[in-house]
Formats: sequence, structure tokens, C-alpha cells
Amino acid sequence: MNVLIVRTVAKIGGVSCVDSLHKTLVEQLKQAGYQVDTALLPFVHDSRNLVEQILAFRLLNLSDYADRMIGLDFPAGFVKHPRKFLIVSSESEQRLSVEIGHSVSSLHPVAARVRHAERVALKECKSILCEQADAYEGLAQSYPAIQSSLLRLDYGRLIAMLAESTEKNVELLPA
Amino acid sequence: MHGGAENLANYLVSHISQLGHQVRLLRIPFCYEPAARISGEMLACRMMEIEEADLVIGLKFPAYLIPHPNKVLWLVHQYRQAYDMWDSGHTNIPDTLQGHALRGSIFEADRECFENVNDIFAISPVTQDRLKRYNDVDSKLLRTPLNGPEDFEPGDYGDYIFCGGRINAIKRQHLLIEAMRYTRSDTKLVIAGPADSPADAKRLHRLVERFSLQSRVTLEIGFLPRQRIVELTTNSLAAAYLPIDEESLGYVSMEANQAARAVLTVDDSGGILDLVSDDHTGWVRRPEPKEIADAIDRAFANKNRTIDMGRHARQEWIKKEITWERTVERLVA
Repeated sequence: MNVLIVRTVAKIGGVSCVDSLHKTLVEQLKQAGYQVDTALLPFVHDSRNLVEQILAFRLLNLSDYADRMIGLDFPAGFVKHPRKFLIVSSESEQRLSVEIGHSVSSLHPVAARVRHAERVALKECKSILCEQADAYEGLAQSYPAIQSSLLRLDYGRLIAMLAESTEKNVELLPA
Repeated sequence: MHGGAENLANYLVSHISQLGHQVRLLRIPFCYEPAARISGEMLACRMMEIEEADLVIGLKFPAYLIPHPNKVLWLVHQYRQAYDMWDSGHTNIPDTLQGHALRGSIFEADRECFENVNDIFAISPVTQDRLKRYNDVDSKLLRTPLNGPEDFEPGDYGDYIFCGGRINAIKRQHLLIEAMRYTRSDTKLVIAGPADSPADAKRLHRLVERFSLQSRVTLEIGFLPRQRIVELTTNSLAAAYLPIDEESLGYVSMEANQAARAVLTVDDSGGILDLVSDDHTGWVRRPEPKEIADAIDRAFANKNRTIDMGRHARQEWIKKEITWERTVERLVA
């Protein structure tokens, strides 16, 4: 079985917290016998172009590219796959709706669209695994509907879930 | 999940970094089946943004469509199924109104991209010609260097012809097996590499069985570690590579030349023809089993001559000075 990890790249010359998470995840998956590949996508944290970039991620349907997909944080979680898992490292840094809240009002149309897109993308996930407690609590509070999919990150459990995962319908992002 | 272009990108990143530049690799997955999905993937790339890069080097469709004010292309892959492979009938784009519209949108996206880049390098004269013919775009030739050439130092000459690389109908490993049925009894062939699909692997196994070639044709189908490829190349008598009109010189043939092995190819294989000179550094035949069989027989009938041709091939290859240092200098100039 092959697993595609989807993540965004850090700034050139910089290191992000996702780098170490990514490295550990690849090691764990390979030890478990999976073939692992990584998609490295560009992303600019700029509220002016956020919706366009989210749409770009939504246009990537990787259903036939790999048996399973693991997104590392948002915005990687926006990419579509019928057997998608999402790992969220830190609530405060990695959710765009939180990030955008720092620059525009939560009532701003862009903020509302980003929240909606996050809600749809989260619902698509087979499971959402949180590395830190603040991520778990923040997501549970913001999106009660996904509570049953929320878990604390445990690599053994993730690997077991990858093996038994069934397909989940991928919804299109409403206009 | 990895092919030659992915290895090329990794080596490029490594060599740019060695020159003191900060560099990041982007890898955009591309699913070309079904063809109807390609429009969305092109659009996705055109809507992406790249942060804080002084220079972007685009290699493959559709990733090279990502906008940037200072972009150069080192063209490894256009979507050939919209171009020459459409003309030759090897395309997944349907001959329908929707198919024509998709093909038109690929032409248009490429045109817009090519007009807005600072420079275009092509990996082979074949790529240059195709770019000129279909897109009316001029480009500079910048061939792909061999990755890790020091691994392919000439070893002892063995008793088989080696055909490495991905296995599929376009690479035509099946032609070599069909040729083997016409060769003399002491010839041996080793085909090794990952099959693109189970059907591609099955096809070769069936041919070997049908012609009762089990004792002379070895199939090592699957993803092989680099060390195994090195062993198979550096212990062979000669190499063979018969793709249909491929752009590049081909890693298989470059590795063989570095290892002082003569290469057998055919006259419609594309870029490799810049490397193989008939009866000097290898054999060039028509893509017909009996003609290929004649070349294989010659390779085994006069092994000393075959070894001499391999040594010529290495000399000619080294003379070309296709190195990573020179390549990176031109790309980041």
C-alpha cells in the first residue's frame, strides 16, 4: 500500500515545526512497510490571496495517486482524497481561520469562507490526529461536528487505521 | 512513485545548494487519468503562489505553470499527449469536442507560460524541435547530467545485455524479447526495473514463456535499489535502450556509457541517437525484432569489438562535459 503525505514547504532557508513531524512520520510509515511519497506544495500566508490558494489545493484530487493520503496541517488538509487523514500540529499556528482572525474581523467574508472550507475539509477526513492538546481542544470547540474523528496523535494507531480505512465520499467545495 | 524526473530534481536541488544558494523543492502531484482532470490541475498550478524566491526553475507540466516573475524553464516534460503523442495516436485525450477543448487549453497555458519566462532550456534536441514545431518557441540546449557518475566506473565485462529503466510499452522492452528468439544460443538478456502496471510486467513474462526463453532472458521486475542497477550495468557486456522518441539521452544509456558499455538502440528512439553512433559506440537498428537480433548476435560474436565500442562510448561521453556544475551555472546565471 502506498501513502502520500501532503504538506506545504517552509520559507526558503527556514525550518518549520512540520519538518520534524514529517521526518518522524515517514520513518514510522516505512517501518510499517508502506511505500511513502510526499507532495510539497507552495503556500503564501497572505489573507489577500488565501481563498484562491485554498481553491488551488481543492482542485488537486489525488484519489488515484495513492491508496491513502495524510495531510500535515492546513492548508494541506484542503487537498481531496477519499481516504484522507489529517495531522494537526499546533492549533494556534496551523489553522488558517485562526490565522486570518489576526488580520481581519471574524465576520469578514474571507474569514467566513475560510472557516467554511476548513469545515468541509475536516469532515472529509477519516481521522484528525492532533499532536498537541491545544490543537485538539481548539478543533473540538470550533467544529463540534467532527468530534468523533478527533484523536490525539499516536503513530501506532494511525498505522492501524491506514490499514483498515474504507473510502469516504469526497464532497465538492460549494462555490 | 519516483521516476527519472524526480531524481533529476533531487540532484538539481543538491547541486544548487552546494553552490551556496538556499533552495527548496516543490513536488506537485499530477494525475493525468482521466484526462478530464487535467484542466483542474492546470488551474490549480496557476493559482498557487511561491513565497520569497528570487528564482523559480520549472521542470515539468503542469508544475511549471505556477506563476513567478523570475522563472526559467528546464523543460523535462511537456504534456506530450497533447502534442506529438496526439499526432501519433498515443494519447489519452479523447478525439471529441471536450478532448479538443482540453488540448487547446494545454496549448494556451503553455503559450502563456513560455511567453512569460526569462529563459527556456530544453533537455535534448528532440525537445527543442518539438517546442519549436508545436509552440513556435526557441530554446537553449541543456542536457541532463548523469547522477552520481562515480558509481559507474567500468567493471569486468559480463555475458549479458542489460536493459534497465521503467517497464512499459513506450520503452519497448518487449521488442528485445521478441528479438531474442532470433539470436544465437549463447546470447543473454537481463531486463530490470519497475513496471508501470501489472499488465506491463505480465506482458514480458508471457513473451519469455511463449518463446521459451527462460534460460536466456532474466526479468527483475520491481523497484530496484541503486546499488543493484549499478551492479547490473557495470557487469554487463553491453546495454540496450529502445524507447519511442524519448526526449533525453536516457539515464540507462548515460550510465552505460560512463561504465564503458556500448549501447544498442533503434532509429526512432529520439535523444539517445545523439549518444549512439552505429558501429562506433553501439548499434542503431530499425525497430524490427530480426534487425535487433542481428545487433545482439554481433555483440556476442565479437566480444572484443563490443568492449572496444564500450570504451569509445565512454571517451565520447566524457568529452561532452555534461556535468552538474556547468548545468547549475547556466540555470542560475
